[in-house]
Amino acid sequence: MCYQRKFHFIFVGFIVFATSIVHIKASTLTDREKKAVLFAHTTNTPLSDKQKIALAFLDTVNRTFQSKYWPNIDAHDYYENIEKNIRNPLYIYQGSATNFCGYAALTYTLLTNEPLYYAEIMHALYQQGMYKARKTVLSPSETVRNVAGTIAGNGKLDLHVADQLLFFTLADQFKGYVNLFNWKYRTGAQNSTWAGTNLAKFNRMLRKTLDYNISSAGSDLFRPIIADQFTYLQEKLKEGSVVLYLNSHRLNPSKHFIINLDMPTHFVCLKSITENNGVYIMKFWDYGLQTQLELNQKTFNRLIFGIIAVHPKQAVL
Amino acid sequence: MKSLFLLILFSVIVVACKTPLNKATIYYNKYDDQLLDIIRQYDKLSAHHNFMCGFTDRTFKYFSIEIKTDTVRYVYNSAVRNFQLADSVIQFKIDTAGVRKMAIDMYKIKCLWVGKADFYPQKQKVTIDYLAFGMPIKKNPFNESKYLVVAYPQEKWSDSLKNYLVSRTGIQFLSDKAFFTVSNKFK
Repeated sequence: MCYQRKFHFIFVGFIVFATSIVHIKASTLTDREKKAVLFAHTTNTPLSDKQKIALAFLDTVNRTFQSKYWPNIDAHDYYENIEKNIRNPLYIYQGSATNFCGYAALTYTLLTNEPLYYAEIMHALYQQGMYKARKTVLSPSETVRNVAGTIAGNGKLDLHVADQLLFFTLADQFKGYVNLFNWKYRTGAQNSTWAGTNLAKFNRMLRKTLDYNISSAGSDLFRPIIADQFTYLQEKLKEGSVVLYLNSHRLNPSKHFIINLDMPTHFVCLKSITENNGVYIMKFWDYGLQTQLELNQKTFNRLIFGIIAVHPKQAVL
Repeated sequence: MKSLFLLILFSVIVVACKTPLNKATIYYNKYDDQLLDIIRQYDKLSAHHNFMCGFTDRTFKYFSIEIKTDTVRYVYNSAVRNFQLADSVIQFKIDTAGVRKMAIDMYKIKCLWVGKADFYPQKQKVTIDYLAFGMPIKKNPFNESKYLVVAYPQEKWSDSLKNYLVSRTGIQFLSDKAFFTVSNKFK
């Protein structure tokens, strides 16, 4: 009995000791480790050859070199963000309040098609402050270079400094008519029309930066005239990537107000679409996750304003 | 006649000067207990599954629920699968009876949406529970519709964190445990 009690005390003592060690370990996490926990995003998908090559490229670069062009972006955070994006493109997050969805959709398209090119662009932009892309030179202004890495109140985008860098660069570089009255960056302009993207501007960004073959249907005002939109989307998905330009009020969907303007406001990257008993089930990348959304026929017919089918000109790694 | 005109003019001025802060304070003072009760119900229901839910129309007819896993966000709406919403979310083992009760409580105070959101001030994760209400009066009909959002931090915030968020994100505190903001999104 005495022996059992003694054993019991030892056992309890051991548990208390082990628990305290775990507690101490948790409470003494460094800032770097805490950040790693925040960045944690599990995925069990095996890496493709393209992703492996891009990651191998990242291993060859100096990931500790602090850029003088981007004073508010820490090198370690930056390359960690790039690596996460390459490993899991779904991780791309445009911010909860910004108008960065067009640039984020472009980044997702680039990451799924050419992760190595993405890594090269990001590395050069950070180290040299500019990059000679396929049909344009990405050269962000000093104003946005100073802003990137400092924005707040946009969810995980506050931590995703590499995403901030690329979105600010693209928003600064490419302009469309939606940016006409908000041409220059002012504080908080990422949440305004300064960061807006219309269909023609999005296509131009794809062509100039990535030089992809693009077939685009639709416009900023009128929906594409396609007899069977569902079959069309399925066919385009077989050929390559598909980006949709759609009305986010119908995507959510909400009828909270009397006046809901029937116009496109949002870019998403379609992954699959199926139909079951008159209900369309769309899966698409949006806001750092894959969203699975059910739509009825009426909403589906009124949702899409632009369909951008994308595929690289040659097989690339 | 003149006094009637002055009365109408005064009323118009009062309505026109009703700022979001006034509206938020009125809501908060009037429904303080109900708001907290909904937040408590929501915390209990979403303890095992991260989900958000609410009404997607002005008449509070259609109900939507969003369930978030590590990599996928599932969105269900009763407007699409009429009367089959509970069947759709049954696989996630969400307490649908509890959600229904919470929805009735939300309807009573005209609350459109309840959910969770994360902030990352000073590289720290901060989670809030929030309730969204419609703001039907718009100064400019071409501006995007706005929502009044009353939020409750899950943990008590330090003064430095409060000051940081007030200065950087423009939120305004209603009390020690609640703040509000105006947003163009309800989720």
